[in-house]
Amino acid sequence: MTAGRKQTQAPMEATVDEQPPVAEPSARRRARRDLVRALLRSKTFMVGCAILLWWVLDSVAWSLFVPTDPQALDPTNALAAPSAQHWLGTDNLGRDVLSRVLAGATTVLGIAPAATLLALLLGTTIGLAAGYYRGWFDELITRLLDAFLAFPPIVVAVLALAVVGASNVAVILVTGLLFVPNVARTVRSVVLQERSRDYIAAARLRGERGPYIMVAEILPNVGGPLMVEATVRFGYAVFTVATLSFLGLGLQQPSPDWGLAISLGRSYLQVAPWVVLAPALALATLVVSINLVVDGLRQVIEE
Amino acid sequence: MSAEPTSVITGDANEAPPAVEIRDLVVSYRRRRRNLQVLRGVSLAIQPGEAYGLVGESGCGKTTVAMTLMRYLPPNAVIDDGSVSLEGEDMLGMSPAQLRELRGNRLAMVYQETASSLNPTLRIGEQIAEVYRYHRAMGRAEAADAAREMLTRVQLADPGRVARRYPHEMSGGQKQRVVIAMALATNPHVLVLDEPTTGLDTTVEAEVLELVAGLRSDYGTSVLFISHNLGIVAQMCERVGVLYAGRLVEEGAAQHVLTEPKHPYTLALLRCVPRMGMHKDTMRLDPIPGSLPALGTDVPACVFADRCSITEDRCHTQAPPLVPVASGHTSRCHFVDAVSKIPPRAFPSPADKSDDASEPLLLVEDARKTYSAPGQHVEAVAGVSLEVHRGEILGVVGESGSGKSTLARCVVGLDNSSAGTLSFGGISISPAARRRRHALRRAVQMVFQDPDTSLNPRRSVRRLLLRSVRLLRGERGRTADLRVRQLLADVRLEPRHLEVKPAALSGGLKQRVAIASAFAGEPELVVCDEPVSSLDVSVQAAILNLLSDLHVDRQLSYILISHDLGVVRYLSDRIAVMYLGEIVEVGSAEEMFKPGHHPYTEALVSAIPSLNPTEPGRGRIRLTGTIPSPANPPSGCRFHTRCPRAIGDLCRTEKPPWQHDGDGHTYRCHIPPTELRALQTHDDPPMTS
Repeated sequence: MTAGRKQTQAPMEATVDEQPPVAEPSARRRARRDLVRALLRSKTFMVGCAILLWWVLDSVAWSLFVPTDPQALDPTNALAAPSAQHWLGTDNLGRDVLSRVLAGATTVLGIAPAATLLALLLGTTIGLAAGYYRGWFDELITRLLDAFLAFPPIVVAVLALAVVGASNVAVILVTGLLFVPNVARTVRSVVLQERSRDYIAAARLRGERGPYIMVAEILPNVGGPLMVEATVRFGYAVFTVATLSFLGLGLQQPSPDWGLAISLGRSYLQVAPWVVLAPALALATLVVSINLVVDGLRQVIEE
Repeated sequence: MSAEPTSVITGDANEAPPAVEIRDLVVSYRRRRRNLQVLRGVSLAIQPGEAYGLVGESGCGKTTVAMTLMRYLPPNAVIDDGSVSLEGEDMLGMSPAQLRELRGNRLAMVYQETASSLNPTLRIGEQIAEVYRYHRAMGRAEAADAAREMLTRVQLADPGRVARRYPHEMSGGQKQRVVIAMALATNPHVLVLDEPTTGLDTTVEAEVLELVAGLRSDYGTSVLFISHNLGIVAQMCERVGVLYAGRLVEEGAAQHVLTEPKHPYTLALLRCVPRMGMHKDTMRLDPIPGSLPALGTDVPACVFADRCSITEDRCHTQAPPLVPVASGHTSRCHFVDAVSKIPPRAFPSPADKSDDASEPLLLVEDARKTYSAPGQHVEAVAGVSLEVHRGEILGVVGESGSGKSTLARCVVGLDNSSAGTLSFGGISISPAARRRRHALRRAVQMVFQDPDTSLNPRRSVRRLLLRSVRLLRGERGRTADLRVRQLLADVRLEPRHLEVKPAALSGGLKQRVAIASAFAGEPELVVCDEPVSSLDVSVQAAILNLLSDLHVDRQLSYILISHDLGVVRYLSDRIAVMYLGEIVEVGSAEEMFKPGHHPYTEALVSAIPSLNPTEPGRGRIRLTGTIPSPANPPSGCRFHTRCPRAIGDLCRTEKPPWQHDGDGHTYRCHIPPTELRALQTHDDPPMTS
């Protein structure tokens, strides 16, 4: 222990010190590296990540992967079964299903993250304020959130979209707002725990103001649970966005969006099941991959 | 206490085998594909009926010894070498079924955390009955009867009702009794107690220890008693082993080891606790320099060499043998004879410059704090008046639930007092911190109990201190940077600690950062709420010295809140004793420990475990029962329900007057000073029920 020897040279007072296993700044880096390593070791996380990354890549660069133009019509070859030419067959207008599935990731992976972000921003703000100020403000907010959560989410979304009209922006707003209560409740519960710790009392004694304490002191300590919550909400957002377009409240023809494709292919389910199955499976893999990532994260964070 | 002669240690082979024999035990924990050695060859034996104390700082491996004996080691632990036998039978080769049999019937353990060793969903009676039904194959009714009988044996009043309660309906001391009852249910031959009283109030602790001692003499149980408190070990055990960094460095009869230590570590452990009669004005404490080698690091040949004051080259190269120093007393040191000559490094304190300027800095008048819940009002602080003079250290003591922390939070303004007035420097101040003027906020600061929660884990030491400097002094940029370095030096930390986050620091260093942060604005009054109770003894001393130095250098005042009377006595000039939200006695630190004190103070003082259990006048009185609920405080004198010197109806019906005993010593009791002093100097202990 070099530290121990160094001390004997110091003056009397400094010797009188319990010597730390002093971690150099690298300790932080090491902790982070350990976390990353644990994630890399987690099969759940890695498999989820691989699938998710594939879809993200595909949503950006689908044009490189598609065998044919997803919008190219070929009415003479409508509802053709999978073949060497069309690996996943064609739909009722003779468009290549594989190309449309690959192209369809863009819409859901654009809208769902945007909606999640909106939910996180608003939800975190509300949760922080409610958890920190408590009292009547908290009481009011939590009651409102509870009331909001009591409505079936899809019904609320359908109603809202029926009023404002379907558009990408509308779907983002509605889906985002729909998840605000969930995020807010999670954040609030973590804030309540953190708030009771003495570093908050110490900050108040220094004369810190509420907003500073919330944003600079508490928020960084809410990070872990917030990350898990974000991923969970993202999974739900993917699902909700797809459901809305299935119900015809999101994107309209000729978008290759998966929800829309499932909805349109429904009528041909008996003669050409591939029209529905392909986008449905794509959607399923995306949602499952997100759930795998959540599970992996949770395990590692909790360890 | 109950020093039984059953434990004569002889080497004769024809005796019964030792109750426990551990030989050359080496245990390590696997972490990240590395083996971290925790026990480095521990050998010890516990004779039948003997109580063996295992002491040492936290991290020495005490609990690992206990867990190995129980065979309850976590899955990543590896027993590399050595043997463990119970009454002559090898335990390491036993099958899980054999172990289960053994654990219930011949071996039992009381764990450190009582709260988590009881199942919260089962009634107390059922939990104990379970032991009988499983290990004694008793029927339901029979087991329930046995459980009730066991509850009687651990002296729980009204066992029938206790048996029907759930754990959350009981106090800490009661729960500890239940856990002991469960451990003793099958009348085990060996009982392992791992810090059985940590977290309990001194008064409750004394009761629990007395119970264990009594039961032990009734049943002849052998005990492995693990504690960091040397006083308790001296009181409870016949023999004691001192563990350091996974090696037993000294072993012998408790009286010998704890009064004439022959190993530098034992000596250092003994010297770093404030002893009775020590005061900061006359003597500084003697902390152990350095810290325990971190897990997995290489240790020198003599494990203690890096922190030892008489170390020589030999200590680093050659492992010291186990040297017999007296019959049954051995020490692992090259220089056993030199140990008794190690001069105390505790040197006289620099003279305290504060003269008795009687200008009160803080004046609290009739402060009250009520917490309201539906259906009840709890008065946590019920009309407290006190003053703190400039340059004075006022100690506040009392059991948990006495309202001392609430009082502290009211003074600094974290809790708004519900009534009463506060004035600081002669000017009346707002009860809420955020309404106080900047200068006042700067002047009144607080040091919290647990630095783990009082420092934001996400911030580096530099950022933590910069923020305090900026808010409390309004400094920025280079000036602030220099100030932070100065602060760091003031609390004896080094610049290399600046970029580190709290998690990378040991407990004592964290507390130094917390102290630096409170001192950033040159406060005039610092409220210290249990500043050392979350720290190891060796570290406590260093922090107490630091607080004392800062006090002398800066002429400021402290309110020192602690349940540890030794700490309060060492540091304080005056002491206030609180009971159920009221102050029952105020006086100089010296007077509080002499006869003529409030019966409650008397009980607190006599509950302090001493290194010398035979000291006269010890353990004279014991408090029974627990502190009543502040939601429904007793009438008259609030202490009358537990008072060993209550004089009848008067105490029940009438609030006692303040009795003045000269020199600012005053207490609240119906018994006048002269009478009380006579009662307390009289050697006859009053009977308590």
